[in-house]
Amino acid sequence: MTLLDPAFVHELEALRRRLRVKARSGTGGEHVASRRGSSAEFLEHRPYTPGDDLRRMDWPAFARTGEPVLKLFRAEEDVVVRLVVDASASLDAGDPPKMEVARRVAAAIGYLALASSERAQVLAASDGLVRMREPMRGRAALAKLLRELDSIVPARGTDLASAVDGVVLRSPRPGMLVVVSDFLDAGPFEAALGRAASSGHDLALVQVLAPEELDPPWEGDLALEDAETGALLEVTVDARAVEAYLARLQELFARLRATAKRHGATYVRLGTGDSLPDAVRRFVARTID
Amino acid sequence: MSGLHLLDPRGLLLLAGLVPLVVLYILKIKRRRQRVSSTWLWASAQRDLLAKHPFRKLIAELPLVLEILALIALAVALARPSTRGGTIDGDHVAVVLDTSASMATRIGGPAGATTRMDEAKRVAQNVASQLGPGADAIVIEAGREARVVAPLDRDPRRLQAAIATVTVREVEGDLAGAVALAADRLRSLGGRQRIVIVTDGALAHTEPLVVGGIPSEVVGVGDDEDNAGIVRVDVRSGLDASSHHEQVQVFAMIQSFAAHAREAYVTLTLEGRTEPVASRRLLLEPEAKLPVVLTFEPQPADHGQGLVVQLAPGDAEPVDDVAFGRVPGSVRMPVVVASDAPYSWTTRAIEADPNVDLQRVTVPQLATVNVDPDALVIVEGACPASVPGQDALVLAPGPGLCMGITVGAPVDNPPITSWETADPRLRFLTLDGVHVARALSLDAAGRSASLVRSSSTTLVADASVPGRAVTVVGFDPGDSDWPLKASFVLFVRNVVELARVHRVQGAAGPVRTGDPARVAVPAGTTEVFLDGPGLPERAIAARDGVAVLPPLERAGLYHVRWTAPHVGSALIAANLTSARESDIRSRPVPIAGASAEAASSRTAHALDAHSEWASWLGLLAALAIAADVYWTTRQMSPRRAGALR
Repeated sequence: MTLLDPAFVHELEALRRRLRVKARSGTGGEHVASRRGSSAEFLEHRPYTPGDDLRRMDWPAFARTGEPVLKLFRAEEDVVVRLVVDASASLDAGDPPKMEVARRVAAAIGYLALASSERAQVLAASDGLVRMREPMRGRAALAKLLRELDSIVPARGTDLASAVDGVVLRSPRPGMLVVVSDFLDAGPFEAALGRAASSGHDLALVQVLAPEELDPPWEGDLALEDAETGALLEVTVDARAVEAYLARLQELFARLRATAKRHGATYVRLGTGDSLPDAVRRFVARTID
Repeated sequence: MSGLHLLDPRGLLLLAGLVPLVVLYILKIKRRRQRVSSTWLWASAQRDLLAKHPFRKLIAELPLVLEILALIALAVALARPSTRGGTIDGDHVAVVLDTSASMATRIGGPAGATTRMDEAKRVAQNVASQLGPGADAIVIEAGREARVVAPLDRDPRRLQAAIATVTVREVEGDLAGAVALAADRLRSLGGRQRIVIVTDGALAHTEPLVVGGIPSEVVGVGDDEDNAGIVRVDVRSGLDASSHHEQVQVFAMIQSFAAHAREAYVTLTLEGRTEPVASRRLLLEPEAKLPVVLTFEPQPADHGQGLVVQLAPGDAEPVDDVAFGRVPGSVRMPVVVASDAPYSWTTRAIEADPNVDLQRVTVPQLATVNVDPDALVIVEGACPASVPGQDALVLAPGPGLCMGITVGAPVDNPPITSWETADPRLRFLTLDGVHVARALSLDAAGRSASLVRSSSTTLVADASVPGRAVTVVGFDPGDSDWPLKASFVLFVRNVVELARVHRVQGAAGPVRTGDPARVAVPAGTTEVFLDGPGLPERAIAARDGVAVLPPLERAGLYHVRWTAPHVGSALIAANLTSARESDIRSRPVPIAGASAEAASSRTAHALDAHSEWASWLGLLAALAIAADVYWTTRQMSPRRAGALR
């Protein structure tokens, strides 16, 4: 299956202009920054003070008014969109596997970034940060980005907190931090996300779940095998047990929602059978599911 | 209500099945494996459930719990738990125990460990232990005759000890007589009275029990069992038509009281031998009544020996599977004629019978010669004080006392006016036209009877005693024209035939258990010794040629011997042979004066006094198994709407 088919790319083209990123990563890009800079977009005039760059003097205005003023322009900065893809073994579940959907979501977001002249960086996380490629820029890098995503193979356990902390530590400047995961992690990943937000990262959480995780179809006496650890849990799956499981899942959703609200982040949840364009639209709209 | 009894504790052996059940359950754990992304949420959910529902762990093992429950219930049900007794209401209680032959029936078939009698004794002892304060009880057993086992007593231990001594009598019971005795004993007492009748319901007599208005309850013991028994036995001897050899024929009637057909063997064995002399194979259809004839050619030494007829294989009631008899004497009847006359019409008539061994002696010799104890002894012209042998015929005795009859003065030409046509000695003959020229008058008063009468006196008298036929003819046949008539030959022949019948029956004739037996012994015998099954040898007084034996309460062969005036013995075969005692299926016990409702309520109360819980436990086991099946095959309840998206 190709990660981006033409119809989907067409949709993404329409969406790319609507993507807003709250963080700046430093070099020029298509995204206008809130601070003043050197782009072609005029922002305001300011009286000249000694030491100002004379190249920024508005000579015609000085000629008309006799008052030396500087012409200021809105700065244009690029953004590093860091795509942290959960590569733990749990992403191998589902039909299609959750990893497949996670790759496609990451590819779509990566396309939006590259098509907007931003930089995109692919990172893989499992029981820590296991892969961190150099950021890439421009549409020409799309093929490389897709190859990077394709090469991620689900394995090992999950430690999102460690992975997010690793990204923050290794990022010289903040950017957009997109975490694509099932978030089935018992660890304290909310704290790590908080640390990332405090460091200036613009957070976006994309949760991918398989249908059987949203509505367990099993019943009877089962030995549930953990895909990551191989541990067995003996469970009698009946209505009451499913009810308790779903309550716990709701609690996880609530935690993610609360984390997103607290840090002004985006939280998009989708099942492997759900429409991918819808999910990307919700992502671009920066919603909280 | 008394404590719980286990009627068949062997059922508890099934509890051993708990071990493999639990082991299999532990080993079983064949949970379906399901790979999931993470068990984290499931583990959390499970903790939540256990916190909310602490018994969930137990519910998870519900099948094991149900299977253990079913196994325990089944094991206890097989052990047949029962409660006995109930509250015994009454100041004076009569416990009537049926001790008839059917109470020997084994519960649970021939291999059963207990009998109905054991069960009945437990019930009776339980009643004794349940007496109220100040109440007393009397225990009466209902055998052939009612017998008080324990008089009115307040001490439960003494009552229980007395009940423990009660044994089954191999007789037809008389429950009505025992109940009547109980009612009679209680009637004179004040306070509240109660009769508790413990019986299997297989009663020999169908008349209702008369309780005289005293509250009564019938406690039934035992279940319906299949049974077949020998309900009649008879032994004859004769000549085989083809071989002309002597042959003993044993006629036995076998009756089935079973719901199913079965094969059985009837064997005939001589007493003290193991090899049967004859046997037959039978197919006993339900409710069938089959006659069986077993024959064999006796050896000379076999005459007078005991015979055992056995129905095999045995069944729940063993007493009716065996019957006893006696090998009759030789087919040739020994007859001794003691006469001093040169010519005897009687001898001439007897000589015409080819099956007679005739021995002629003089009257004085009669006291010295060895006479067969079964022989017919004919004395002519005299009346000795002691006549040996079995039956006796005395013709023309001298005046005086003869065999209990007073012989008086001569009578000339007495006309024969009547005779006892029903008497076996005068059967098929007429005395019309017989003229007697001279006869001695016979006084047939007392226990003797007149057989042939003239207008003024008795010409032929019967002086029989039990087991022995004695005929006294008051005239010499030579003094009449009777020998010239066929009736004389018929008379002599009839006397011989009667002696032959007595010889076949032996000294006492057929004896049924529970009845007293009379044994013919020599006139001078004053004491006989009785030896039989389960009995130590005991001495019994004899008088006037008869020994009256006490009721023989066990079926079997009894030996009676005497030593004076000469050594002799007799064999007595006592049999139950009772179809009603062999029919061991319980029947309603009717109580006179009780309405149908009252009778049934008594029965219901009685059943309550003997409550078996096996059926309830069986039901519990079935329910547990059904619940187990439901639980293991149940469908999950429908999901709530709200599977998360």
